[in-house]
Amino acid sequence: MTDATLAAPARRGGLGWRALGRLRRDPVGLAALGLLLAVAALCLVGPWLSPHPYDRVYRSYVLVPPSLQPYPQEATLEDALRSALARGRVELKSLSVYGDRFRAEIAGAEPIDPRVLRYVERADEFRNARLAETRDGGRSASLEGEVNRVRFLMGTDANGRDLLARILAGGRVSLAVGLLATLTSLVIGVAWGAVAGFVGGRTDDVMMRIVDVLYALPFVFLVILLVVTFGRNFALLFLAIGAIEWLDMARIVRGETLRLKRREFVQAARALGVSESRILLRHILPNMVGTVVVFATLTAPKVILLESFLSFLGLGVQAPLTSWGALIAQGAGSLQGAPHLLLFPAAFFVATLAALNVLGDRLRDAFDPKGR
Amino acid sequence: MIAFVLRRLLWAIPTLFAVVTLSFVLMRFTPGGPFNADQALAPAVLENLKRAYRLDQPLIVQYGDYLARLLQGDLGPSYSYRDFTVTELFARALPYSLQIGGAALVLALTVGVGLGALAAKRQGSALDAAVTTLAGLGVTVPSFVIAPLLSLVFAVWLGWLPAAGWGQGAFAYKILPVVALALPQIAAFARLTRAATIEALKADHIRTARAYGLPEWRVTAQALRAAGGPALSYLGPAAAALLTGSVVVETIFGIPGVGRYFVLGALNRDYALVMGTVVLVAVFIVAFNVVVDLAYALLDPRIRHD
Repeated sequence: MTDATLAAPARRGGLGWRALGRLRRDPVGLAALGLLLAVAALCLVGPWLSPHPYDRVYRSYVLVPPSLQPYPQEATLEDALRSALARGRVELKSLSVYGDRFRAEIAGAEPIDPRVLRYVERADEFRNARLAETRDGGRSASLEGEVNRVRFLMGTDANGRDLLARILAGGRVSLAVGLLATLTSLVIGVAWGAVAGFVGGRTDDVMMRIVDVLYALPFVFLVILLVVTFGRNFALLFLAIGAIEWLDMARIVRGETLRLKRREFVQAARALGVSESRILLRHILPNMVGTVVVFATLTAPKVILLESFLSFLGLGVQAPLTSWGALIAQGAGSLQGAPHLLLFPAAFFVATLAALNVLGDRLRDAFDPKGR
Repeated sequence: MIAFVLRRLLWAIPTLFAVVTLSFVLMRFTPGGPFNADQALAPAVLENLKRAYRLDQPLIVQYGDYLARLLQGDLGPSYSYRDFTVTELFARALPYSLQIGGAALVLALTVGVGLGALAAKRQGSALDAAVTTLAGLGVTVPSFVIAPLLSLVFAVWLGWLPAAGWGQGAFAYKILPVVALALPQIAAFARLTRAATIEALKADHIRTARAYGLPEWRVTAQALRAAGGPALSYLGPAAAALLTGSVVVETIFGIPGVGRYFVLGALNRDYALVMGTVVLVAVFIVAFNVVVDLAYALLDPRIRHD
């Protein structure tokens, strides 16, 4: 019989299940959880649904602002076709557009080589171009095809890549990094802090001095050394980052352990003959779940930020792959001309991190035994 | 009390020593070297360079050299900024970082603790909700995002403040970087103080103080004293981080501080510069941890006897 069933005989299930039950009745917490899941789902599924691959370059649409209107704009079509044809030394006589289709009269000094179509295809504005009829021994012709209408809901970046597709692809990276490194830091930090705090004495002294020493190493220095050593191995790198993010967690868990182990219920458990390891696992650790969860929600954004910081220095995710941080860094560099490059990635980033934080807070309240 | 101070200071020496040794070893075992340029140097030139910087000596000799020089306060010549010693680089850049970071620290501490305490006193009010929400946002939104956003709003759109640069130390140039640095810390201090003050206001000695009829501000002062712990333990790392410069904020606002040396040193394998930044940060962190421990002991006499 555990103290949990003594405290609430009517309800069944462990501490975690009851906390989740309480979270279910909390609209704000649920909203945060919903937002988080929505962003995660969007990032996971979105890249498959998006008409633009995240690394597709549209040379004609560099730095276009976000809009619902499709590109190309009608006014630009003639110039675009003229310059595409000019590469094949063919002249544009007239162009008419009906909805999504176009028909152009073209002429050249020599008979028109059908390979000129490649130049038209290569332009981002047109597709399925073909020569409908040729006249004058092939020196003039009618060109038919479709206007390739594309939308950039969030605009494009300086290379003409769709920003929304890049944000979603970057979100995958950022979220995966956050999850992986946070879990690593959680496991190491909790184990280290709990042992140091619970065993106490000389062991505690030595373990916490080690933490102090690692603390005093500049973080950026450690991370850069890790990057240089592990190279481009993504998963390994972020396991390593998690492995140095655990210091705060260890300190906090140690403090909590010190506080909890003096409490009466621990003495009671000891008096009842519960083994030391069981006291730690069953009575002390469950009591700090709230603290640990809250701190983990603070660690996740830190790690995500760290990854973005590395991308900013050119050490993180390598182009054309991207992450939210890398996108924000690019946006920060083009404030003057294209603020959408900063605003949209920052909005996704902030919304996700805020949701993480709110969720952490609500979870803490749900875990708080005083709120029962 | 004096014994307590001495004990903490004595702990600082082995900590610093361990930090220096550890980072020396780590740096040397990282692949690459300070003279790995894009264009390979002629072997003879490389030999001469190594000899000039005594990099041809055994590692243990170099380590001894470094420690001996360090004890005299000499951080050695920089490998990437060929005409400067690391001490000169720091002497030039540190004042910028100290000014910005110091101002940000003061701002963060006063505003953060103030807001946190105020929110705790009026728990459940609209003010409390506002502070909690903003603090939550502030903790999540890093200076990485805040700095360019501030720049976008106040420099590009409104045109009130300069976007970047030092401007011979003109006040207007410092506002955005200081605010960008301080905002996340304000949020952190407010959060910590609010939570701790709410707990502290429930304590028995506060009820006693109220029963004695002490004026409310003195009751609050008592509660704050008891609630200072979390904010105080956060002060150490926060102060060290702020004062030794932020790469992100310094890059975005174009401030010639020490922040960038962390990155440049490690990327260029500028051993002396890297070791210099390590020592600099370590000294700051250790010093602030001692200060924080002392402040703890002042706030809570029980700690001294632990």
